[in-house]
Amino acid sequence: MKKIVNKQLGVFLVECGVIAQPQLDAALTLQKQKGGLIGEILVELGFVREENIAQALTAQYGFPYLPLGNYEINTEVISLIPARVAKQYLLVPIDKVGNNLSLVMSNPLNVQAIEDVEMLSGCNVQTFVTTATDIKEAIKKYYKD
Amino acid sequence: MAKQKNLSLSSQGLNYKLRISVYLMVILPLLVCLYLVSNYILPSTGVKTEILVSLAVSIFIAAAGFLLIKEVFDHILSITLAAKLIVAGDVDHKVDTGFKDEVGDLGGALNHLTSRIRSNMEELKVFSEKTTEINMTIKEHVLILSSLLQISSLISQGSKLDDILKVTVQNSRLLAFSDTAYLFFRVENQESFTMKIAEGKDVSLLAEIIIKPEEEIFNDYILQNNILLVDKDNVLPENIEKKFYDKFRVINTLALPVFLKGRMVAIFGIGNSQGGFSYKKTDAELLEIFTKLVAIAFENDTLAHRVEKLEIKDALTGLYNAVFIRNRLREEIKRAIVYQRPCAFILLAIDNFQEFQVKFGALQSELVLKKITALLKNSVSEIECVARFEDDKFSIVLPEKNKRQALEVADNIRKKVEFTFSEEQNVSKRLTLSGSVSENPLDGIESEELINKAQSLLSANREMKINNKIVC
Repeated sequence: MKKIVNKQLGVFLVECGVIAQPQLDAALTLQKQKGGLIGEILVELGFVREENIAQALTAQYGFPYLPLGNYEINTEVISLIPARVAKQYLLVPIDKVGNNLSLVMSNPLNVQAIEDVEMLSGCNVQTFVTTATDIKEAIKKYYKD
Repeated sequence: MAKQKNLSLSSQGLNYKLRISVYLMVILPLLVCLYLVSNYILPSTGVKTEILVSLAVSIFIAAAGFLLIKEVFDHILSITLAAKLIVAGDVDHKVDTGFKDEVGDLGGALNHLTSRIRSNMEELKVFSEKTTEINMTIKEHVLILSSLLQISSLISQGSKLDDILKVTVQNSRLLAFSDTAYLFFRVENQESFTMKIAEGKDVSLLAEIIIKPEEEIFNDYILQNNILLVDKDNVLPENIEKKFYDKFRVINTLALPVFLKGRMVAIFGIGNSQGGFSYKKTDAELLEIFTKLVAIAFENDTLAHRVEKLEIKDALTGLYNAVFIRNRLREEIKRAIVYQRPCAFILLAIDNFQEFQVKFGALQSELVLKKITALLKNSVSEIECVARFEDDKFSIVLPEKNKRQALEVADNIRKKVEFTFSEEQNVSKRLTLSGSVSENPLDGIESEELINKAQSLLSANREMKINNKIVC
């Protein structure tokens, strides 16, 4: 399942023309050797930028892109998702209106994570996409242990 | 016949025979003489002096003869009496040996004989005492041997280490009249020792003993000489002796180290407070056997723990065991965290299985467990791992599955079990499963957090007597 999703992201990026097939192959080889997420490896290798991945996801699947840089999040909304869940799935809740929870994540293809958030909050989840770095910074800012 | 027997002299005693012989030898001739004198000589010639003198001389000689015979027989009788007393057991009786004749020699011979008997009896007494002592020692050794066999049997049965050590220390008190027996454990990676087990007198006091590395008694004796021996012949220096007594409350002690793979891991000792006591070589030899048994028990325990750690499968079902599944869950959670994936844990319990076991016995219960095992194996994917978690509990680690997906898997298993056993004729055999689901990261990031969560959910379910249900 994990590989399928990773392959999907890799293949998805090739299909979108963000990266070339040899670049994906090189990244997959490195993943086999060292482990890690395919998106992060591609970024580390300099084949792609985080923003490119987020924008491709927006273009292909229609996930709205939301840069978190200047976004202020209500702490009540933050408390809906425990830190361990936010850190593991790399996601941050940003807003809650009625029974709808807005969630920003770097990989909106992680359906299981969305299901977990729905189960946890009891809300319908609206997904936004942003870069992994933005999410990590937001987690650092709002989830002070 | 009786009259005839009474008339015979052969069966009579010497006293009687002497009386008869005096009658025959002295009294009767005298009576004959008196008769002749009074009837034939005195009436015709009147009393003549010569005749009276002759008569007196005859009487004197006869009396002298009588006294002589009597004396001889008196000696014989006294010897006889002494012999009778000796025969009756009075070997200390001394026979009068003042006579210078054969009777005196006989008395001397009797005295010599009794003296030999006395000396033999004394030798026999000493020998008997030695035999008793040897018997006591044999009995004591048999007892010790039997206790050693008991300890060996406990070790081979795989009894708990603490139980084995307790019995070993208790039994070692059979050695050398010991009031006390003690076993010190070496503190891990240190030179100090703490009391593990003490038996006998002043146990509460002994239990608190700690031997520090700077204490010369163990440094000087145990650590260097491999033996601590304190008794009549092996006295401690005065300053140490007092310290030792204050600490151990025994005057004599024999202590040996317990080695495991060349490293001293414990000190095993016995002690008593008898004055003038000294330990025998066999005491040290037997105590050494006890220390070796302690070392074997240690080694056995270590190996048993190692084997337990290496075992990954449950013997009855062939599923993984609880130790393995805990490790597996830990690893899968680590992987899930790295790949930003979920990992679920399912805990399943057979409802009312204890009652089932009581009602239908071990064989039926085993068959049920095997049947459910087959259902579980057929309900999970290759990367999912099923284990027998406890007697009536199973667990599954599901990498890449979140709580909703795991709930589906668990409920599917529950339904399969319910369906399979619903065909049973006996209502009591219609078993069902209850279960709980926890997930990383929702319920924690440590394996124990997930296991505890699942266990508490299941316990709550059971307390409410809810069967055939999966909760999360």
